[in-house]
Amino acid sequence: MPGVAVGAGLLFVILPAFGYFPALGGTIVSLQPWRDLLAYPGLAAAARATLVSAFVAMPIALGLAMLALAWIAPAGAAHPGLPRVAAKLLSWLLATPHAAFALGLAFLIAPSGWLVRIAALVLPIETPPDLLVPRDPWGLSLAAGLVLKETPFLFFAGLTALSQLDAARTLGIGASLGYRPGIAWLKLIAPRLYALILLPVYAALAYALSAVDMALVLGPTTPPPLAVLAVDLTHDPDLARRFPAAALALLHLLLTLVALGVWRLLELLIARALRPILADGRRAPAPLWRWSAALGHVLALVAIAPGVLAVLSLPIWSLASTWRFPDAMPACCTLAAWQRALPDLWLPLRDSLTIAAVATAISLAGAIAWLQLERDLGLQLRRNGRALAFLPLVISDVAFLMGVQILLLALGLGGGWLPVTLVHALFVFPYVLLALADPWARLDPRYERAALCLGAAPWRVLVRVRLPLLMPALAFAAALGAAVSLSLYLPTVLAGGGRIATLATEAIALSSGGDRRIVGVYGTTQALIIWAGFVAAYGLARRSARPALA
Amino acid sequence: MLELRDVTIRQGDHRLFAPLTCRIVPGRPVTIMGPSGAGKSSLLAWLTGVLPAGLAGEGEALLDGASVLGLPAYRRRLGILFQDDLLFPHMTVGENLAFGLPPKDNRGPDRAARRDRIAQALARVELDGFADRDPLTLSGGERARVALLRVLLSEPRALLLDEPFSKLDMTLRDRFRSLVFQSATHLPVLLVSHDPQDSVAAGGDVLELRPNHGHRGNR
Repeated sequence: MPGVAVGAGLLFVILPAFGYFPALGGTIVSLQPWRDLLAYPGLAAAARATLVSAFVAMPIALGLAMLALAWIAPAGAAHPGLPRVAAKLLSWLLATPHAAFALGLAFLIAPSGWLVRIAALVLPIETPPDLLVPRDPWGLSLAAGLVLKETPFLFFAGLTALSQLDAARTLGIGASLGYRPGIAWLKLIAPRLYALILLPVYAALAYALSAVDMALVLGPTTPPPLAVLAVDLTHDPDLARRFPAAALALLHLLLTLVALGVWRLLELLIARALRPILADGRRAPAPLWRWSAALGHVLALVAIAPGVLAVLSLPIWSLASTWRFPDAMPACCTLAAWQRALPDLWLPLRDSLTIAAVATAISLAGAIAWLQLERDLGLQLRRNGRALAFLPLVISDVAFLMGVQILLLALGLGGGWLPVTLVHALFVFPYVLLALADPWARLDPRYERAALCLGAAPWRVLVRVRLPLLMPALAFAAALGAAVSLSLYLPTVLAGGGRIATLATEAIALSSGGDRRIVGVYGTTQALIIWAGFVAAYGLARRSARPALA
Repeated sequence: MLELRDVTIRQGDHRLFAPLTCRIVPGRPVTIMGPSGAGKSSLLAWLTGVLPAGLAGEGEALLDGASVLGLPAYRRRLGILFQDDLLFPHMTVGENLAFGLPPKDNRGPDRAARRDRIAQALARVELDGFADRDPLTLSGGERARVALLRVLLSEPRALLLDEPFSKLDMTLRDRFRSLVFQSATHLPVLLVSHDPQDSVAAGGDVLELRPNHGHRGNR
């Protein structure tokens, strides 16, 4: 199902990209859309902003995530202090939606933003500096946003992978051979860890190249990054613009593939260059290295701090009464912005929650059916099936979603509830499946065998034994699914034909308006709902914690 | 010389075994016997400085008269061999050995010299030409020998053996055992095992790890 949808979506990009789409008046195959596209003056700058932001952000995010892993992971439960707090903070940041993150970061780094205000505490700053941030033409503000968002993602991908590596024992061997923990980590754990998180890294790179919501808030405007440019073209009332838009979407897909290829090549070159170091036998770090451990901890913290500040700035702005420029904190506190926003907030809130609930319910049911059926399949079939389910995450969603939109247009459906919810389900499903798959496989099979031997029919075993035992995992998967749905921007805009407003789309739309208090209200609401979902799931999991997982 | 004085491992208030005292000189390996779960592996983990949280060691451990307990794990230089060879899967056999081999003090390009030393070491244990092999393609006996070489090349001050023979089959076990003891005659060797054959082969003193309260501790 997900594979078919992605395939159909791509097909309906490829056809109009070459001028063929009768429903839009294109009846002959031609290269005209590409000529139109290449004639667009800002294309090169748009591509530059896309590539620069992604290729600046990814190595930094990866490095910070690795540093945080090296610091937090081996300490584990033994060090309940700072590393634990840092891991907690990272998990909150991971759950924060992209849009809220971007809005908070925009507050933070703007010329009149929080960072400058904090600097003004010690420096003589009277007026906001004349800087073009966010939205600098090179896409560096966007890169900063991507770093803050990808670091927690890569960190938790690494934390999951780390459990397969027996890191404690490996580091122990390293120590018995005379290696300091930091060097042992770099030589023994880091290379293997990276090999295990390849797929999340590629997914993060693909996301960085196609992040429309973050780019709308933090990215350059004239021209915007490619993904945003493509979406802009589809908003053009002139339907003929859909042809170059489709060509642009296809170009974006190709660029993503090339970027992934380049990344892979860089991987191989770096691995080759570093390989001799593995075996050079050096244990005592060079003087430079001696400070690296401490520096690493500081860096890991420094990386987390702006994320926390960015997220905190949203509720603070939403409650600020007056907040004149050099003041680091506003005059506290008023609910005026909330009162002003509430009448308009209600509808998108209701719609967001409805779409999230339905999309999550569909995905949960689908994932349960998927996992139940998967048991009868061979391993190879199972792997291929999983790969198909994850396709929407790795493929360029710009191309595929534009195809969906063009298809809807061709069918005379202008977009709306049903397509938005179904497309949301397409993106929610892989996350729900991913969250359920591991607990599903680890459930002690003897419970079900016992129930079967007591004469329960298979569906009864599923409903009365397996699902109740997996309740904590189901609750977490549901919270994750709702969080994904509530964060989705582009699918909502493209499949909704601009007629469905959710918290994510409203917050982004308002961000260009400039009323920071109202934007603060929307961003805060979006983040609070998602966090509430995780807190509820966590509470449920704690209450029903049973020793059923072997 | 490696010396243990009144050593035991505690889990909370519970001592895993009665306090243990012994002296280990080069050429006379000491064997500590005990059933599985008696705390043998924990004892070695404590000596090497990697005892898991929740356990605590008591007593004193001296190497050539100086306590090792104050040193971080990576400066104790106590080589250890486990039941599993634990060769690093992302390195070749040669790289695994090079990882153990300390660099020369002078900073010159000693890569060729290192490669020679590794080739010689491999030849000594009948693994000529194995340097570029992937450890996963080796047999159990071959992997065990590589693990032994890796420890010896790291120039340890004593050798700790955590049942490294128990996973090998009979014939391999005898050969590998004598190889280990022959190549470590210059080192104090402490072996923990539950196989009486091991203590016979070691030829030195044998200590029995007695459970403290007739109870089994965890691991």
